[in-house]
Amino acid sequence: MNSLIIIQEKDYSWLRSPHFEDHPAMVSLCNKPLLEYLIDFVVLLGCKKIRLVLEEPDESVNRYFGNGERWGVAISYGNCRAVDNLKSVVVKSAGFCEGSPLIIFEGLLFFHYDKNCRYEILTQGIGSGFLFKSGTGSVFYRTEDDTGQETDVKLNPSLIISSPQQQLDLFNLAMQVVREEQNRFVLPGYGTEKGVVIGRNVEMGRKVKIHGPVVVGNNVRILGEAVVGPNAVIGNNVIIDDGSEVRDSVVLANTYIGRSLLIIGKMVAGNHIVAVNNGNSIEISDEFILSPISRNRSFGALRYAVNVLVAGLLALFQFVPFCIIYSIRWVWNDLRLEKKRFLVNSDGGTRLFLLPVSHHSTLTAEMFRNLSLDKFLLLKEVFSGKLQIVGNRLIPDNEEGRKFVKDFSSYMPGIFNYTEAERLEPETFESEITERYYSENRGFLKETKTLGKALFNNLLGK
Amino acid sequence: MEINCISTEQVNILTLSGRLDGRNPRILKEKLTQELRTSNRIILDLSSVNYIDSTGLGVLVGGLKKAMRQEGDIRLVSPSNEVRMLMELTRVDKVFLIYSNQETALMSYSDNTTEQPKARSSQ
Repeated sequence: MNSLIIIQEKDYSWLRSPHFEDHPAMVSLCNKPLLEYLIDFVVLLGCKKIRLVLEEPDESVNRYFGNGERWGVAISYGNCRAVDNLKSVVVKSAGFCEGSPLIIFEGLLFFHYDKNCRYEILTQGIGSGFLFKSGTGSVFYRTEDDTGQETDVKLNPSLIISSPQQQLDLFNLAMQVVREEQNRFVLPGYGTEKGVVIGRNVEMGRKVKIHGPVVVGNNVRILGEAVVGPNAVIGNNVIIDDGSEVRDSVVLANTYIGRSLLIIGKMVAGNHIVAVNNGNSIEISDEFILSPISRNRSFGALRYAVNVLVAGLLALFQFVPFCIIYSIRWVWNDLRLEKKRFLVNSDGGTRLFLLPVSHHSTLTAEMFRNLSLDKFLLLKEVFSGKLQIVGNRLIPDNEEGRKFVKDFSSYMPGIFNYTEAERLEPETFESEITERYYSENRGFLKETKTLGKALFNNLLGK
Repeated sequence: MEINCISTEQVNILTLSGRLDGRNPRILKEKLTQELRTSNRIILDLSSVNYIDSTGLGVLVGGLKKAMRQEGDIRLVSPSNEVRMLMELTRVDKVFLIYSNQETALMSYSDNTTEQPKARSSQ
């Protein structure tokens, strides 16, 4: 069985808000995109091929779901217009829709499925029909030889379907998932105790208390004596400062919660806060209380200037040795230049870099490495702002690499990296921890030290 | 921010309007200090305050501390939903007595002149 998912602007226009930076389909519920719940359900139904048709295609959606390898299915993408209806979209996707039974999801629906259940579509001898239809969406089943009949078809076992239409619906759904339905879904993170899901790279200060049920996202800092839960969803890249208490609330991604605050029954997104009991909302322009955290770390004029200065100095020192040793190696056919594509930011941006490649261990090759001349050709990338002098290890642009940087919002690649400075094997667990630690705790002194260590290690051939 | 002051026999009533934020904290601070010289019982009417931030809240709490040192109190009247939400977030609502109008705030002083703020009370 194949699946066609059609989501048009009218289905998610309520999610167009300055408080949601993502594409509406990527707005998260308990730190997982709404659309991913649907994809999970479609996979559970046994679909092998999924076509995602959005009115406004978005790079972030394509990047997140990729070719579907992560779910063991093939995902393809298509576009539709506001005037298109279900029939015209099916006609446009005829190549995909024909030749196999098809289940069509129209609208932004949320299925309260259970990951441990096997669902079956009961067609009762009828060719095609609606599984579910409402003013906000429908699910349609079509057999291989479509008869065009529109009759209700049942799902066994039946399940509850929600169709969120406003931000408070999203809050209520999140609370329902965190309180009662955590075990039904695969939520991002790991659970140390029942009802507590903690994401990656979460730092907790002294005397922090976590009372389940809670879901905490990736790259979260909960500082001293803060209390989180019960019934709290903390998004990715959130800081909860000393002594604050968050319960019965949803804190969306990229939010700073100031010191000693009491957040109860609220939905917080950046500096915007909504009281869910009466819908009152305020924008707080006091950054000591609430503020948004910039997703893209600003490169900063000063940081850029320092990087350019160091790159200039290194280029000056390396130019003559590079020319001499490179020429010798070139004559001896000991070295070749290869173009490789790497990821340059966590948004999936890539760039082609020219790198010297050699597998020989000659004296010149050793000198080349010891003087860090293999980095020389990358120095120009510092001037264009694509690389830093000191940063994360360059991650190749492939499926695995994209998956890795997707959850690594502070990824900023550098010519000299933390892994080599700490003399660790790349692509190991230790290397990943180090890279994440350093990138979350960047500072001028740390980076100077890292550069010194990397140069020194290379010089000693370590 | 504007401050209007009415002095009764025992209580000074200050009606604030506008924004109570980091741009004008001194005005209120000085006014509170001045009023506390004549009476240790103050009512702050916040019904026309449309925004308050941590600096503004700091001034209110600072004023309350001064009043309590003189065995008096500062009681708040009718903060807007926005101001109230901010007070709840920062737990400042726990240290002030809050009333829905000036009359009840005035009556509270005559009912119990030595009452100390312990927790928020809406009347």
